[in-house]
Amino acid sequence: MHDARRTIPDASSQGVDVSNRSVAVKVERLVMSFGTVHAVGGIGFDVVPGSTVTLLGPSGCGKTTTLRCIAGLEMPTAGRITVGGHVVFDGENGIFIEPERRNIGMVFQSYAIWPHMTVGGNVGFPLAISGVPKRQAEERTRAVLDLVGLGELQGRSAADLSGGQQQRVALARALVHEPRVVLFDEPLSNLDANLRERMRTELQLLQSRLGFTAIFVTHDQEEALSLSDHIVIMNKGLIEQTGTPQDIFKNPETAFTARFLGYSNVFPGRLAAIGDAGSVAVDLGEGRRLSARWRSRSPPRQGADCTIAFRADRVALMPANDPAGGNAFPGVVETVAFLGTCFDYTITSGAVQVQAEGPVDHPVARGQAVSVAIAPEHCHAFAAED
Amino acid sequence: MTLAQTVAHPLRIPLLRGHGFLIVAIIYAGLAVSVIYPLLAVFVQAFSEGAGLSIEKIQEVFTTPNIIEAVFNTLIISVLTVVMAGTIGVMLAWLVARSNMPLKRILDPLNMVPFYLSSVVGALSWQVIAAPRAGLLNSLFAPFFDTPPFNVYSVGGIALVLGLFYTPYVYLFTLGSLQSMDASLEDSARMSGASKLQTAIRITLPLSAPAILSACILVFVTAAGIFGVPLVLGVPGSVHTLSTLIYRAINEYPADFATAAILSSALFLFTAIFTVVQIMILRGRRFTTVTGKGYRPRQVDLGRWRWPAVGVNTLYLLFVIGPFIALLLVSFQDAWTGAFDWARLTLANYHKVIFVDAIAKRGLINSLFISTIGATIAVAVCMLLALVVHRTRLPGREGLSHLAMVPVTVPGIVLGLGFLIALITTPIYGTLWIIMIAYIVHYLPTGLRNSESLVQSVSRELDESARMSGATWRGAMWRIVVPLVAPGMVSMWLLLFVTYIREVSSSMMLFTFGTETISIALIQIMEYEPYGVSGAFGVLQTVLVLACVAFIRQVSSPRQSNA
Amino acid sequence: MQGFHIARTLLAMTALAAAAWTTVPSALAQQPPALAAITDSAERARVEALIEGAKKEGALSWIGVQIEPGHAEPIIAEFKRYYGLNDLKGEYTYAATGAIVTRVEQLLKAKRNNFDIVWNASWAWYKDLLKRGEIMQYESPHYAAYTLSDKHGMSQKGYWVADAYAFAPVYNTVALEKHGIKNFNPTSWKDFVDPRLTGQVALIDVLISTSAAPVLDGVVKVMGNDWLTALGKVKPTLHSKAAQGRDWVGSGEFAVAMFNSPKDALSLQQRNLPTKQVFPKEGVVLIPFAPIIPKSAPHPNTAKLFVDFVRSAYGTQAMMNAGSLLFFGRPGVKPKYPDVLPSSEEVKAIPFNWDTEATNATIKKFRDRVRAVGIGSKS
Ligand SMILES: Nc1ncnc2c1ncn2[C@@H]1O[C@H](COP(=O)(O)OP(=O)(O)OP(=O)(O)O)[C@@H](O)[C@H]1O
Ligand SMILES: [Mg+2]
Repeated sequence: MHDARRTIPDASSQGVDVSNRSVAVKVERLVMSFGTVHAVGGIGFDVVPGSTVTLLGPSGCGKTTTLRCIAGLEMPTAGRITVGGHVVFDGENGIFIEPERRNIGMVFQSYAIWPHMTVGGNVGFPLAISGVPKRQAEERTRAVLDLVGLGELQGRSAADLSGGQQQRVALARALVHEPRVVLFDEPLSNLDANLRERMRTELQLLQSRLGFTAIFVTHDQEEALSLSDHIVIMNKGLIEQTGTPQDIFKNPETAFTARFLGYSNVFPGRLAAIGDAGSVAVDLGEGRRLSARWRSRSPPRQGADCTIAFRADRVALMPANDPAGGNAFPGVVETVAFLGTCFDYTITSGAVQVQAEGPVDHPVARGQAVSVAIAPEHCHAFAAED
Repeated sequence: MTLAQTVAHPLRIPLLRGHGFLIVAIIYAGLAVSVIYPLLAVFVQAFSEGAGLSIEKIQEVFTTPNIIEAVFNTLIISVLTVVMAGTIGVMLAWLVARSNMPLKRILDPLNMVPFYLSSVVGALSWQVIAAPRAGLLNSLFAPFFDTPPFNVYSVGGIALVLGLFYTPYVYLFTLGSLQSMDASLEDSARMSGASKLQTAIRITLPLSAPAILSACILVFVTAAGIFGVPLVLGVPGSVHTLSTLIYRAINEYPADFATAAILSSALFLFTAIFTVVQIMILRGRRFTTVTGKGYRPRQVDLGRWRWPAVGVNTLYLLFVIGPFIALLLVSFQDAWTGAFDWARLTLANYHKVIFVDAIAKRGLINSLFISTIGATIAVAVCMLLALVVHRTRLPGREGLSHLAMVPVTVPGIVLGLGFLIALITTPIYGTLWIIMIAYIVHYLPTGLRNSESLVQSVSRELDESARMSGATWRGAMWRIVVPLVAPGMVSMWLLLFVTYIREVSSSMMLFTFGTETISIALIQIMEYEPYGVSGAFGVLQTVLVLACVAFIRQVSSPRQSNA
Repeated sequence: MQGFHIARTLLAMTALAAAAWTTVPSALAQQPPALAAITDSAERARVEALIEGAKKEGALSWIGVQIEPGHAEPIIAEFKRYYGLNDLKGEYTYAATGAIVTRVEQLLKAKRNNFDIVWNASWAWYKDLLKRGEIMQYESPHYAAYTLSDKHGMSQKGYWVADAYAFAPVYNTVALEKHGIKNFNPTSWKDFVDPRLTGQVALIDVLISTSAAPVLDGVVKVMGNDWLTALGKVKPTLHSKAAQGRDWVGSGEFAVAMFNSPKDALSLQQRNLPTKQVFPKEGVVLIPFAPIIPKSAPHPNTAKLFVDFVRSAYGTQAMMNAGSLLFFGRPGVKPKYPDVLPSSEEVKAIPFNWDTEATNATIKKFRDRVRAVGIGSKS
């Protein structure tokens, strides 16, 4: 299906890495500095063909920069990037393939719809550039527009489209020349909540139909979890953790990841005891002590400061003197909020404030004394953050 | 999946691919030859009387009383011009942008009209109005004064005309900054208890200060080096400026290139210092006021001062347009005796300019040629420069834009002298091309500033998405960026076209017989023809420029409204 | 001697008449009037050769001052007719004295001179060009008749003979009356330094203009230093170009313009302005004004023919008739506007040696004297 012009020529065959044919995108030791700002500090990850990888992280952590390096829109400071088995950048050997020859599609955060063209002109542009005959190009444009549900807008000026329409046009344009890899830079962030959800589903449908490899940038964890086969969590230009959504969500490796994935209870503590198979006991002060799983890569040290994290929905509120609550400490319900599907509680226990969720059919009243219980496998302990 | 090691040691990347590097090198060479070489030629000439370094000549030049006086005149003229243009420009801009002055929609475009008019024609008109004895105003006021109250043949007269004609520069810069200012900045000042006036003075003006200051420095440098107006209004009354003395040094026999070069170097130093001061003051403050958030700036209610404000604005327009009307009257008189005389009504002046004086026709054709081709080349060059600077990662690209900004400090007459000294023995001397190149170089900063802001107004993602769609760099620029800024390019072309048509200073140094421009032709005609004939030519020139402006506006307006 | 010249003039007149006669019946012979007038066979051959050359060259470009564009065209037309050069493209560029010097010098420096005829009033410059070998040697047969030019020391053997123009005062009677000066009937330079004229006098800037300084110097020479002092007392306003003085006195801006040419005076008179010019009885300085051919002239044959033409009796009269108000260096040219312009024979000339009295040093010394009486200082 690829045009001859769009495949990377043999001239760069020296860069073809046969062992990596099964990897759609491979990023190695990527460094990108803007003067003294190290936007990307030396990262690497692989993307399996046809899968979706999400770069997730807070604002300014280097997601966009990484994406732009893959696209060829930035000249990385160092490292190596391989796309479809072809080296497109190699700092050591001075290889840099221009973006237009990488056969990558990209959907920009702003959508970057060209206002001086029609919708059809925008979407057909990649075909026109690669010299596809006019009729054929028109058909393909039409087909892609139909795919994104904008078939009837082909002749319209692109200057006054709604946000959702722009998003679809941008998507159609990125897909029309059937690239191996499509990059998305927060494509949904400009849409309202309803539309966002719909587009998310549509994207997934499209991908499963067309089979392209997607690299997705977002700082919305829900989006990341729902869309991705793999997630790369970034922080300050470095990778914190990679893994499948379930894997990451269940087993965060750092307090940063935990917090970023929506763990609402993150507290400092001290390692009181170290058991086997990664079980530890964490002292939260004032006699509060919880058993937890040690998640950090570095081994736990007795008496060292640490961080403990657990999710609100993993907290069970027991009657104050329920003996069943093994891994628990006492507290008083401070606030109660009804959220429709559950209750949201704040429980005060000395200096510690715990967020908890409870079922709608068993409300707990404000001011009630409770026992805050968490199963040890849902309690994550990490080396203390500095 | 593997987690990479985080080794951030910088690697050597020999990525000097393609012709990009070559292009940068060529542009550097081009700028060096056209900007730096002429300047060097002036310096070398200034310091080398005969053989070797000469300080005596420099000492001699700067102890001549005539010249010291000229230095002071130049300084006073520049300062007065800036004060006047600055005050009027800021005031009118504020009224138009921030007040509920009536008739704004009409007054705003009218305030820009002086920009399209030649200040030489303006000087000629003011001569009609305010010559000490035969001027209209003086005839009008003669019964009330012992001595004529207005004398346009003076430092004040020169500054008045310059101030009037350079007000639009300040006006335009300030208006832009006021219109793009975040209204909430002012609102919060009002909420903190500041009155309207206090807000205007303590918040609005300081926020616009960078824009106002750049405009003022531009006006100052231009006024210091301006040549046409002092020639018309200063020389008759023996009020000399550095620029007229430079011209005289070249035009006496034998031509005194050494003195001209020394004075030019001094003038350049003078303007360069002020530009450097500007850069120092504005460092880091340049874009602070431009937020473009789409807030509509609130308008201050002038209350009972609404109509007086209209009066002030109209008075300014009257000062510019009034004399032109007087000139129009003069152009239909066979002789000017201080008042319009029906018995003297004639078309002979126009006949003479159109059919008899070959130089008028020649000047017109030459100027149209130079300005049309020159503006086209300049737009292309400036766009290319802006694209290279803002849309590539070529090494040394930022230096390019700095180098191209150098001519902003160089008065036209100095640049003209540089081209003359540097190129007199080359085949392009005596052609229209040398004048055209001088124009392009002289106004490169104007063009570049324009094209840079045009390019910057296009989101990078728009052309990056073209790259991702398979377009080469050139393809992305040509098919995406250039079409998007096309309306802006038309305005820029028009700006340069008008600027070229009005140019006097460098042409004065570079023209030969046959290559007179329209302004040179006017000055030459003023040499020997009576007011009426010069007036007729001035009127024709003005009408022509305004017609061109209107025509191009008309032609390009449908596209402009689209963007 | 005089008789000989009259005879020559008569001869030329007859030739002219003959020429006119020959052209009337439809091209009796295709012979141009110039050739018809020549009897001498050697001269005839010479002129024929020049005409042949000029036909090949096909163009003439001429730069000059004093002769206005509108007056140059008929001269070129006459020239073409006289030599039968119908296809000649003649171009005249009019410019101020100083501008001519500057531009021609720049062209010479750039080795791109495109002028065949330079007709300027800058004696020192001509001498300099001569010294530098930039002027083509050419002795037109008509130079012999330029006796007045010889007499006033305005000829350079083998290179040029000159006509002259002169600067004399022009005054505006209405402006004078406005200032209470009635019955102003000046005859002498003395009348123009009358204290009643204080503030009313425009004077060409002798501190800047190199051609104007000798003119004033000459007047001071015959009037004495007291006259210069008196001039200083009337506080003249300096202006840089002659046209400014003309327009000032014309509009009544000033009542008197001290130095204007008859050409300026005529242009004022023709526009019905209340101005008059006087040639003071003490005389005026004649400013030599001669056509020369640069050695680098691109069309030398045409240039030589043109010099022949404008130095001939026919050509000078044609110039006068076209409106060139000059004191011709050849006697016998009939003034077209006798009330404005005295004839060359009548005009009283102040003796002036352009070689010794108009050097840089003498001009500088004279300017110091001018400054000493307060002229040029701001009051
Ligand atoms: N062209 C540039 N010049 C200098 N610094 C830059 C440039 N581009 C990015 N940076 C810096 O690099 C860092 C990473 O930026 P990047 O845009 O990759 O962040 P991001 O993760 O995409 O953030 P966001 O979620 O806000 O989009 C930031 O500190 C940013 O300021
Ligand atoms: Mg980003």
